[in-house]
Amino acid sequence: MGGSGVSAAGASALQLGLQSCESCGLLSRPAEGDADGRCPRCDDHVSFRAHQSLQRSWAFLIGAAICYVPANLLPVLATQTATGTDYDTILQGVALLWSPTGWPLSIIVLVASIMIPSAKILSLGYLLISVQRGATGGREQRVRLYRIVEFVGRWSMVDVFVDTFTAALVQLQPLMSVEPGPGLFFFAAVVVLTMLAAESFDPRLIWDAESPSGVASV
Amino acid sequence: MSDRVPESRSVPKRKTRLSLVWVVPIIAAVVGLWVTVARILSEGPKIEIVMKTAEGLEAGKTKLRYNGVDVGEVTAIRLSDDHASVIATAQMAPHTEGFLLEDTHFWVVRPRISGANVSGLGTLISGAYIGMEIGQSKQTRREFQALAEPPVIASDVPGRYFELESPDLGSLESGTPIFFRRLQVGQVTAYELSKDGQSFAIKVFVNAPYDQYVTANTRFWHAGGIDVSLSANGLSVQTQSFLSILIGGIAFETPATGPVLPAAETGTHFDLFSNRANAFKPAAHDPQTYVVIFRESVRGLDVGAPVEFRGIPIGEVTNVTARVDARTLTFLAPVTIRLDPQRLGVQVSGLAQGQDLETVRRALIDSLVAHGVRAQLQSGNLLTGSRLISLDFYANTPPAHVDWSASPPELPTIPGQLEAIETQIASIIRKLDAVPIKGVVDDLRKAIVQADGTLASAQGALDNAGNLVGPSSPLSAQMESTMQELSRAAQSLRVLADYLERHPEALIRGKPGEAK
Amino acid sequence: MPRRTGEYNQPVDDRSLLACPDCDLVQRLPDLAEGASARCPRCNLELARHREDSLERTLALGVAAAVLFVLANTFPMLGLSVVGRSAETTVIGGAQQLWSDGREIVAVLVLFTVVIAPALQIAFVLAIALAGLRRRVPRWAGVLLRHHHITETWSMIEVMLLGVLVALIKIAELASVIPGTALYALGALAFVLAAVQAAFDPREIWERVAWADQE
Repeated sequence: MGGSGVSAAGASALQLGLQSCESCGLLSRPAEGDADGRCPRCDDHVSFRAHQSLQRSWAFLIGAAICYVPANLLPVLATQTATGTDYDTILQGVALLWSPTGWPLSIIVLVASIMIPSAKILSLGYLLISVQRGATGGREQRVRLYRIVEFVGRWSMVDVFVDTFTAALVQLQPLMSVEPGPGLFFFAAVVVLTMLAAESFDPRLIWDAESPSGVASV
Repeated sequence: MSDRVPESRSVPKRKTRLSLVWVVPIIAAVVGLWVTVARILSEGPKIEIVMKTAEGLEAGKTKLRYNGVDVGEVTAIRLSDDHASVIATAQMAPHTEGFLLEDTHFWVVRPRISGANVSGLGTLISGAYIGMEIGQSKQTRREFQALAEPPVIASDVPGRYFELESPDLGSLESGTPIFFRRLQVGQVTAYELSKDGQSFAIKVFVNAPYDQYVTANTRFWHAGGIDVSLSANGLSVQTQSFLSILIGGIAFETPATGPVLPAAETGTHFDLFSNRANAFKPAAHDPQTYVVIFRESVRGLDVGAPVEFRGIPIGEVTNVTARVDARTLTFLAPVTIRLDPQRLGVQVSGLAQGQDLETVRRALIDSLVAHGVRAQLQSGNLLTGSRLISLDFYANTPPAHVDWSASPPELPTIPGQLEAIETQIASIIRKLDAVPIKGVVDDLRKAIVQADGTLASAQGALDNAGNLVGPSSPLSAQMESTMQELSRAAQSLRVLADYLERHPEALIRGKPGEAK
Repeated sequence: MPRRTGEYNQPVDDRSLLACPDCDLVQRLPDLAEGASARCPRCNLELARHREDSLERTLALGVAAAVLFVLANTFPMLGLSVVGRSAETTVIGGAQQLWSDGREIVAVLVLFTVVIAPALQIAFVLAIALAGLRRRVPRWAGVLLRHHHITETWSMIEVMLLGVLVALIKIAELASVIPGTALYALGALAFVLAAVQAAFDPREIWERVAWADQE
């Protein structure tokens, strides 16, 4: 088939029984058999939808949500001075960064380390639920939300780099030395897991709810 | 005529044109190359420093500093092949080749506390660093041996070094202060035991401008602690400063008497005396050694005790020994003394021809002895019991002479003062002993009884006399009337005298109204 | 559900047809004018863009990126000095410090996002561009291109720069901070990598690459 003109209200590849290669974009007809076909051009596995997209996405998301708690409770930086050791969590770091002249720094870290991860988790959760419940409305908005989540996600890593290079530089024993704390691992885990969760989510699922899928996602 | 005209070949337009975008990587490559090359070229020299321990040093962090300016950084630290020392590789700053001379020194600056030197405390905060001192040699070097300790004096501090010699070190160590008029003007930099183990060579440094006060005549002495001395001259307490009490010190001063000399050159050698008194003792110019033999206890006579002539110190005791004469079983104490005749101000001048100093001196001493000069032990300080030897003229001494044949020559002595006192006391006691005390007491008692009786009779006589002449006795009444008459007579005489005075002619003419 | 390697799919006849990766709408790509881009009518995703001299530009920018990358990792990035003590660090030094402080996993993550992923990104892009300039684009270019997307996602140099900036400003309050050569190199690298991403058109490779099923 193929070649018939399509309009905006056209059919999705799934409805037409065609598979689109994720890597090279080639439209192809699925091969026989249960196993995934292979893209004739780039040799990658092709399937209608990403396998177990929802499951994997939920798994990563829940893992991120779990790590979110210690990421904020455990200290991410330990500052050792001659007077003792100070442990600072992310929130305490945000407060420490606050100064009348340097408040933009504080805002940057607050946004990047607190707001973005929590917004990501909530947004992805919303998207997953919306797909699972078969919601049909607001698709453009939802896919836009997805694209924002994907794009912005990496910027949560800012605090990891702040702490890394602060610790790398301030090694002036016994005057002052900074060490990254245990919370940093969990925070990095939150960022990585949410990125993986977004990666695993197949946005095409948003549009599948319109019509009952002819081919079951495996 | 050829009818085949070759056809020109049509060459299609070359499509390749270098896009402007290639400027970007070219710039990047050029900048990168330039930065890298600049870095490599501007790198300073690499050096290696061998040291005992790398404690406090960290590769990539520890800096080398000269006069407070960072001039290099330690890049690597490793053990030497024999594991006995540590080799630190350092990258010096650009253009520091001129610093790395043959006699440039490096040392690790760490907190150090020793007697007089507390240094490097700032490194507790700022971390240890490697200090350096640039030498003056013309040769360069890339491998160095670190000093074990920071040099006491930086090589460019103005001043002079001197060498002192002392039989013992006292409380001196590197860094011990040097005082001039109680002001610290320098310090001990090093000391070394001489090869024969008999003395120490002590190197000291005196800062400018005080080094100009050190002349060939200057005396140095141990001035540390509290110098308390009890001697025949009395009690003396000397100290330079509180610091020197704790850690010792050396003081110097140039005696006021004596020639004014120019400032001493660096490296001049001096003796280090044990105290100020010794330092200022004028050196014996022409010391003469004699021996005097005492037959009494020489307890309290120390080596160094003064020898005086009529109260003027002219020498000192150098040795006190004991001898027992086997034949007579008497105790002898030969004391060696050293006299400096010059202290008496005796200058032998105008030697006649054919005479030498020695003969003249002998003749002089012989003459003195013939006139009664003897050596005697005297008490110098009753408090401490120290004694001295006094040479003086003593009348009524048995004749003696100088034994020039002995070596050293022997001067005659007389028993000491104390001995004479002892003898007198002994004789008094003997005399007292001889007195028959008991008999005297009995006599006295009898005399007292007699006197008692005499007194009693005297008392009675006096009582009688009192009755005779007492106020109610007839004698006194008679005397009283006599007195009255006498006084009347006197009165009339007086009247007469008065009249005569007023009328002197009455003597001749008599009183008016009287018979003619 | 096990995925076993299966047979090759059959490509559709009309090669200008494709399905939107975000909403799966099947559509035909028109010929693009210079500078024009094609967008999905349903979800507005940019599907293709006309890029002039894509491979040449990618190559040039990739070389620049490679030079900058070497600079960024060789020279120190930041130095600080306070009370006579000083310290400096390179990018890799930051990861090293994390490792030695016991945060090994975070150290590996940092190393991956700022050193390994950008290095792979640059290497892949250079290789692919070089392969693309040949008349016959070899298959391995396609293999590299398949994984190129991952390197782009995990390459976080610009995020690191922001983090370093924040750290720098914070430390500058208590010490004097000296930016090093590598910092400028990294700044330039972030821009150049973004330019590479803008210049590189994967479609050019996909259209000319040797197909997997032709072997």
